[in-house]
Amino acid sequence: MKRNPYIPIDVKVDKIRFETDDKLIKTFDLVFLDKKDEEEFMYFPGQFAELSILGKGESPIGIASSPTEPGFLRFTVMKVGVVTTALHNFDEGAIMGVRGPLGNWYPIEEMKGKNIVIVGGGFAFTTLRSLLIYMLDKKNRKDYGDITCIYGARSPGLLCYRDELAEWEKRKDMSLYQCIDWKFGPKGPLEEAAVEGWEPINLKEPVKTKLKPGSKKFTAFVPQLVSAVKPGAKDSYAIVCGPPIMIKFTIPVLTELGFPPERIINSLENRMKCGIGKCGRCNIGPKYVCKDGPVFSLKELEKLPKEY
Amino acid sequence: MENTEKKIREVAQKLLKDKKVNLVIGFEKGTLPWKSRPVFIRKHEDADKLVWNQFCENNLAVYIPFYKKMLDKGNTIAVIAKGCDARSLILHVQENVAKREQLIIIGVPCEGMLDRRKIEKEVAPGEITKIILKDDSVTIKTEKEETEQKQSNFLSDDCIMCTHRKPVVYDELIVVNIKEPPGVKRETILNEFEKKDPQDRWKYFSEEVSRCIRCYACRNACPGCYCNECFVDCSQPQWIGTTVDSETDLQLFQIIRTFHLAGRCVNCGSCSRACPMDIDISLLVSKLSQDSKQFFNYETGLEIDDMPMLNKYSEDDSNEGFFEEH
Amino acid sequence: MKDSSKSIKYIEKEKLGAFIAELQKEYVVIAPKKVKEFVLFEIIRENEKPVLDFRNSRQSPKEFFFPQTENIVEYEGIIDKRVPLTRDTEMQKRIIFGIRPCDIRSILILDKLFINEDYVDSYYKRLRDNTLLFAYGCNEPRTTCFCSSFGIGPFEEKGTDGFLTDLGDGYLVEGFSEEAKKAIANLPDAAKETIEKKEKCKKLSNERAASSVPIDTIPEKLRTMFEHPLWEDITERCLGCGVCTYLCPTCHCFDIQDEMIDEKGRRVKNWDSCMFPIFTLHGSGHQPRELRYQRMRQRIMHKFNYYDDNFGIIACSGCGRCVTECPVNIDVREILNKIKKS
Ligand SMILES: Cc1cc2nc3c(=O)[nH]c(=O)nc-3n(C[C@H](O)[C@H](O)[C@H](O)COP(=O)(O)OP(=O)(O)OC[C@H]3O[C@@H](n4cnc5c(N)ncnc54)[C@H](O)[C@@H]3O)c2cc1C
Ligand code: SF4
Ligand code: SF4
Ligand code: SF4
Ligand code: FES
Repeated sequence: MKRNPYIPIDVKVDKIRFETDDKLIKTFDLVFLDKKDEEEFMYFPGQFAELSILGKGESPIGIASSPTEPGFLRFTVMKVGVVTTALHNFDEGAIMGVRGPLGNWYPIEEMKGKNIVIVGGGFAFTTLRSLLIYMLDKKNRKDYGDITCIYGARSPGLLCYRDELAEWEKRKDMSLYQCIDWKFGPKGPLEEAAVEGWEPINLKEPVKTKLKPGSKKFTAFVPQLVSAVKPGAKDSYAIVCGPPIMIKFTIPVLTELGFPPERIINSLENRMKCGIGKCGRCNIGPKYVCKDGPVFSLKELEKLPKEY
Repeated sequence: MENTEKKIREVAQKLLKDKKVNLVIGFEKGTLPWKSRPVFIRKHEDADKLVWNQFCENNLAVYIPFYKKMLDKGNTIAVIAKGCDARSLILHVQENVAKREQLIIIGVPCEGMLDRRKIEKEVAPGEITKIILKDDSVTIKTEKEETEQKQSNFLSDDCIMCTHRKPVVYDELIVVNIKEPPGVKRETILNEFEKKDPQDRWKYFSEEVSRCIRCYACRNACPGCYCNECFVDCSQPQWIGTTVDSETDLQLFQIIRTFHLAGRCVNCGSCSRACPMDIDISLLVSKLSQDSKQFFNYETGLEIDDMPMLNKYSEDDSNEGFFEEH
Repeated sequence: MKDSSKSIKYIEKEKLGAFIAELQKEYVVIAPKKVKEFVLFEIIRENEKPVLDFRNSRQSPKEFFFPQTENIVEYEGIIDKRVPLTRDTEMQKRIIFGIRPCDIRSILILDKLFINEDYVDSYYKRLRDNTLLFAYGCNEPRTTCFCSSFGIGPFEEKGTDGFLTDLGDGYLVEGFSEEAKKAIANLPDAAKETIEKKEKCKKLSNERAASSVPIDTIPEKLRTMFEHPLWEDITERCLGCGVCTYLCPTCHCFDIQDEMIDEKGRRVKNWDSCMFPIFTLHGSGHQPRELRYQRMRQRIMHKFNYYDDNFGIIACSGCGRCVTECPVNIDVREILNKIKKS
């Protein structure tokens, strides 16, 4: 007998921490009350779950933990409306529910043997963290080529997973580039670093920026940093997650670098309820984002109406 | 009728030809025997689509808020308006949806609209296949039968109680002689209902709204219901539950909607007509209009410089009113 | 359906009440009832008789499989300690008596969505598994009916357990499924003439219903029509209400909401409509379908293209409810003809 897909699985909030300095984003580690549920909850990087607070409702949230780190599920959640506010009000020890894992995942099989470029912006880094942790896992690392990660936020305090970023910076088997928004003058961005320790890049023509060896932190918008870093497109996949505006400007840069649409991967967010392709809310053309997505290649998206 | 129709077309054609308006909202022939439906004319050649008959039931003012952006750019809209439509248009001007000079009101005196449900009832379980209107008679055809009756037998309840058949404020008036239908005063109909015990009245009301499927056609067909976010759709705070098995929520919905229309409802009956579950919404809003008249001597949409009833305060406002026990 | 495999019975009209009472011993009987001046499917109480002189019910019986409000989780206690309460899934068997063939088709359409290999909606399935469908042939299809566009007709038997035909003085009652045969076993067998009489009714009615909307090329056509002036054109008069979708027997979009009354709470599925702007509104204010025409396009595309793409069947049965009840006469037949011509 298959599980009733509408009934949430009982979990306990094990750990809560603030993720960003503005205190609007918290990370929650959840543990299953029943060991059997944990075994059944087989997921891959890129999938999401409906977080359920009985009496308030449900919210679809990307799974930020990786299947290679068993024992808990991690979610990083921004306080927006009814459910996410209730979640932010929870203390450690609270009992709640998850439904999932839902949706498809990043093409981890197809990407084997390829170089991977991860491009993330703001708090949409959640499932990218999952993917990164998955690929960096001892058992999996050999399956992938070079790993480049480009991640930006408005200010240093708004970057998620800062402890881990510090570790990744030190790793030899991947390159991490981070950026924060420009320092703004009265007439727009200034040609200087926003914060000490972050280097400015060529504002007008980012491609011409000469990256000093070893420098990894910049004052730039994500698409510009991608231009400056120039990750090679040959045998590479680019995985892009972030606010719509970032995605809009990053895709042309990747295309320019030679990434074909089938190797540019996005994750979409549409309003959702059921998460299982029934309630009819999240569709883009004939595809349900909850069931056929949320991960789509640019090639697939090009075939769908622009209704997201 | 044909004469009225001809005049309407001429006026619309001229307005469009002279570029006085960008859009004329009127009625065209529908696909069903009992229906004329809203039409939007932008080219003078298309003015011949316009029709006029006793199935032009929708209150066309309902569309004005949809054109807010277009109006903000300074465009002008003409509306073929019955008495009730014209009053709703005035309400929109009072509430700053449109400027007075942006609305060209083509007033058409109205003989009252026929109620499709009453006609259906007459021939049930037969199906209406054709309706012919002539003078004050209506011929109803089904596959098997044909009956000719007086139009007044099928007048919609709200039209029976209508107080302003001739548009009060207008820019062009289609001059036609209308026959005054057998009007019945709102008081007469309401008094009848008010004679009943409070329990019976409540029973009637709660039985009616218990059928509600929350399709919100009543709200959406109403020219007064154009809030950006209706109270039923609010999630923070949530004013009202979302289900259909809670009687209280269904009752609350109609009661609150009604109160939001105090001094704003023109009793066009659009809400009741739109309701697919035949819920008698008119009764509630009728009472509201009667109270507005009785306690504040106010009727919606009669004077352009006036304000909606609840937006103004005067020292001699009645202290009695909505919260009094009847 | 081979003739040898079905049982054919006859019942006089005045004996219908007794037959219903007989059925009620075992089943909850759901049948058409008069409400004000129209007809709705409701549970028939003891000694109540169904109303069978109707063309079609105002709402379809989809409510009995996909209720407008349906509890999916129940719970109690304080907010950070709540877990779902287990519920009893036993239910009494039901018969829907007098359901029109178009509404049966609609249920077959809904089956594909609610019961498929991806996920099974256990609530829908439970109601579906426990319900027999006794269809009622349409001797007098409405002028707004266009079921024959979809390869079915007023006497379509597919998906039914049994079938009822009004022959004037009585009904021909056919049983196809084993359970239906059992349910009608006590009725007298039909005479040969009555069976022939049904065939005549069927022929007449099929001829009447022959006028239809040519649907064949529509799904293909729509594929290239996402950007098209037609959408704005057909939508201008739309009020954006929920009539067309809530009356439609195949519309199945829903919302999930939580509700607390005192310390008891429930999570419900509520019908929702793609014609409402808040349907797709994000918490951030982002709105993928901002304009009315985009929502109308979604409704038509979903029925006549996306559903066909996903499940190989068009999500319309031609019942005509949206046609007759739209407050501003937006007529789906007219829209389909326009699509065909553009
Ligand atoms: C696949 C996917 C992954 C996501 N991952 C994350 C994540 O990792 N971290 C995070 O903070 N947010 C994420 N979101 C967005 C998050 O789901 C919304 O911010 C959240 O649902 C808002 O819920 P609320 O009840 O607090 O807001 P309300 O405004 O009260 O929303 C009410 C309901 O509407 C729906 N809804 C509203 N906005 C959205 C939206 N943007 N996307 C989907 N449904 C919505 C939800 O069902 C929600 O419960 C994700 C969305 C999707 C679709
Ligand atoms: S139109 Fe009728 S059924 Fe629809 S919401 Fe209004 S009262 Fe309810
Ligand atoms: S098509 Fe008609 S019934 Fe449907 S939303 Fe528009 S006005 Fe309402
Ligand atoms: S779209 Fe209209 S005609 Fe088709 S099944 Fe739905 S309500 Fe009936
Ligand atoms: S969220 Fe319900 S269909 Fe996708």
